[in-house]
Amino acid sequence: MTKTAHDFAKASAKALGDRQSRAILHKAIGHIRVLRQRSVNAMPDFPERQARAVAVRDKTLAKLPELLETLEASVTAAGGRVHYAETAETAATLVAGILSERGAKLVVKGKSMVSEEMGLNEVLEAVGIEAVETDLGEYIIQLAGQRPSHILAPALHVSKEQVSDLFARKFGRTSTDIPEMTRIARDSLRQKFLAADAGITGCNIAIAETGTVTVLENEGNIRLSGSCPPIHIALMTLEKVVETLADAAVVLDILPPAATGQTLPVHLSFFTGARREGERDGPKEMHLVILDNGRSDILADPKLRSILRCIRCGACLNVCPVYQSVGGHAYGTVYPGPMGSVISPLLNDNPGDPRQPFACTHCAACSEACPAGIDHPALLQELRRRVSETETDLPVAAFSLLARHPLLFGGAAAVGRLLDPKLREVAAVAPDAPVGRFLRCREFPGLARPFSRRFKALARRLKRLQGGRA
Amino acid sequence: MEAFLFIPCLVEHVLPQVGEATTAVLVRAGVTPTLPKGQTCCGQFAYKRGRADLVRPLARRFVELFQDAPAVVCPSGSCTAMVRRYPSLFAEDDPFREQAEEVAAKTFELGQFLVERLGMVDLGARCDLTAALHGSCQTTRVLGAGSATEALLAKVAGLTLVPLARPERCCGFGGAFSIDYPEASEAIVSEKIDDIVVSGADAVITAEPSCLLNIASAMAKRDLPIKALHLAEVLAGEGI
Amino acid sequence: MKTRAKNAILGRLRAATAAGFPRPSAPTIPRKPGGGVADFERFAAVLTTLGPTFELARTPEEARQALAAYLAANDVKTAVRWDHPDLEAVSAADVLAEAKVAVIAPEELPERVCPGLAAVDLGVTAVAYALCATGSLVLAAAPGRERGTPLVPRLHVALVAKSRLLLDLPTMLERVGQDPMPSALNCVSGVSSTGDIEFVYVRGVHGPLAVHVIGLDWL
Ligand code: SF4
Repeated sequence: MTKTAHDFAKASAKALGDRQSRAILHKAIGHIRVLRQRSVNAMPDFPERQARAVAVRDKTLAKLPELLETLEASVTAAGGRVHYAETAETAATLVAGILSERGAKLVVKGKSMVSEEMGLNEVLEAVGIEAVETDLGEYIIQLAGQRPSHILAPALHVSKEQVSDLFARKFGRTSTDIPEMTRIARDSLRQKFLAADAGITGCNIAIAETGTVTVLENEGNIRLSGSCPPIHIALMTLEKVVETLADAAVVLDILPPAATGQTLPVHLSFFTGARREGERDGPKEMHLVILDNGRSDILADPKLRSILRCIRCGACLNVCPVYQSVGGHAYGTVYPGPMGSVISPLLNDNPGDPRQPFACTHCAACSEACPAGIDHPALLQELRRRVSETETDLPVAAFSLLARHPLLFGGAAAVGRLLDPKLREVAAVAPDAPVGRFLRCREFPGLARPFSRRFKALARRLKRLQGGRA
Repeated sequence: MEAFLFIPCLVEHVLPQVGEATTAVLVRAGVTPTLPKGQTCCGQFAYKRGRADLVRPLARRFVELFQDAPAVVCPSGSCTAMVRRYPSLFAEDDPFREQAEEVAAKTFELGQFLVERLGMVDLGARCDLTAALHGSCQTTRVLGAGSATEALLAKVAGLTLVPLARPERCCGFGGAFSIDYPEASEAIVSEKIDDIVVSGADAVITAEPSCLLNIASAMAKRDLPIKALHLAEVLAGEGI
Repeated sequence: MKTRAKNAILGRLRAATAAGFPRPSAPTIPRKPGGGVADFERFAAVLTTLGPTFELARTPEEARQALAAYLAANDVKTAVRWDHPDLEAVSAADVLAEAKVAVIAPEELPERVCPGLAAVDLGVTAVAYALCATGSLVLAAAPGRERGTPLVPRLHVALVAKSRLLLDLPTMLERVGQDPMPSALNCVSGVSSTGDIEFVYVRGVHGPLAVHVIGLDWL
């Protein structure tokens, strides 16, 4: 099967045409950013919290193999089971296998980007297991047959009218009042929670010394998914581990403020293994699936490994001018925005547009916002270098050649000045030529008599003026 | 004091008035500007395409041209940031790296030079305008010279600064980005202009020529009667 | 097959980390707890902004009255409760019985607890800790303390003894680390909420629709 690579330029142009989604996206993201800013402002020690978190993430990455072994031992001691998967596909097959062997028919899922990465829902569906997303946003997306557009708020792009229509079609019961719509979803999902054979959740932080899966959320659907069904399967990528409870505390110090502007989310759950002797609820079986999918190779890459510090807070998405304009779907990958532009090309499958690292205005808002101290501009620069190595970029090479020879450079500019009035016409007849693209929304500024030719006279005049004043 | 002018290619050929204003501001600050011959481009465009190999020869040229300068002053945050990055393009043990470091350390963006190097914030400039400041990502976040721009503008007589709704927001230029992704670039610059319009400013000021060009030409397309000025033009006032 | 994946992954990770990494740039010790004392005033001030209601009982008798009044005011007919010393300290079982609330005894709970609680009005629990900085209730599962009790019924009443108040999360995690972790430890700050439709904030998505906290000032 040959797959043509995703084209971000085309996809984003299309997304930009959808005015309604854009307006909603804008409003929503503006809102998250205000909340985040407010909470970070309210924490005068945020920079120190951040420095400590970066140090914890780095310490973790430096001893990752050891920590994963400790994690496995602790989870096992707490009555759980650990599974490793090299690729997204094997991870999905593994989960489907666990569920089929136990005859599971209905599975409730808490929001998990790893599950998206694994394409788990399709795999489960193929073996006849109904998998219901229970995060409200994710549930809406699933009912609508779409994909998430943001790593934290998957339905950020959907309007309440669209949700209302969707509910009318799916439940025969609807409203345009948002609390009432939430109520309808609650009632429908509650049946699923209570009847489910298994719950699948993600994992924000895995704590090695205790074997604990830590999850953060506001709705409570993850807590229900990990508490009610007789089987709990938690999914994590291998870098999500930390060594101790104290290290987890350091990460928890920055994750909610950076993500949603909260000090703590409503539900912070620590799940350690399966139900214990004498307990009447909680899962009888607990499985932890640890996915690699290219990350061990990223760790081996000193120039790029810092992307594994990421704690998936979404802050870089929320400040990125490109993400804010085009939305998450245009990326065609599981992880969009700045962190996605870095990590997607490095994952085993679905790398998206190979030119994604170029779709960047170099504004560095991402690295400024990142609580994990990731320098996205530097990482994207390295990725661009690797892509450029394999291709000839004629305009850039030509420009650089000219720039090495001032006479040629000046000559080229002089030719440009001669052609100047024509350039406007070129733009009009060839809107897809580089000049044309630039001029779609801009008036041509025109080339001027070079500054260097004006400098001498100007300097003399200024000197005289200054002398006169003195 | 003497300083060498580092005039970005965009200023040389498209925005020469910015170069003129820079010269005037330096003279007013008691600095004698020298313009070394043979300047072309700092190589930023190639760097951002991932082609450090194409930047290296340009970095060598630059370092040779400016080696003897007491200080190098540039009316662009992004080009200054590029020169500051030159040493990182050469291996640790490359003897050239040290020369690049010397030149990088004495290269300043105009506002940064006035405030950090000369300790001057009040140039006695006058400019009767209600204006919004576009911080420019490269000048503020990348180079860290944003506070110098603000300090200088605060002392300009007659200038009223009005805030933008999202002052930290990029203008959507991004060099080749504006050509490779014209729709996204347009969406971002339109929002910037919307913010400027809403602010009620008669002018927008920035310390970055590429933002200036982007915002000015997009405003011109919309026929807006709002001026776009470089920091140097504001500080030069009636000085030229 | 399974150990093959594990060995391959760990092998690659070992090779990747073998050369050693630069030392972390900052100390990794957790933040010192914030200042101030852990008291009911601080706790209740934060808690009540998050949705739950709060009432302070100075004596066991006051606590019993508070619980009885809550049962009457919220038309509680059925309840389930934890087996917890703080509940015993206020004789919660007697209060429920006197109010003629049908309490499901632990041995009556069905094989699958959560569906069995779906129609129950109230879950009564006590906390392991409560956090003043964030108004959080920390609930620890154990035999006789089902996870479903504070989660599935439409109402949740939590008893918080004064001695269980802590300043903040880092303090709590330090305390928790001294014993084996319970199978589930839930730190709940407020009432379940969502902003998933157009970022409009809605309370009461899953879990109880209302949470009431009774502070036990003498305990
Ligand atoms: S890269 Fe940084 S800002 Fe972006 S999601 Fe990860 S931790 Fe958050």
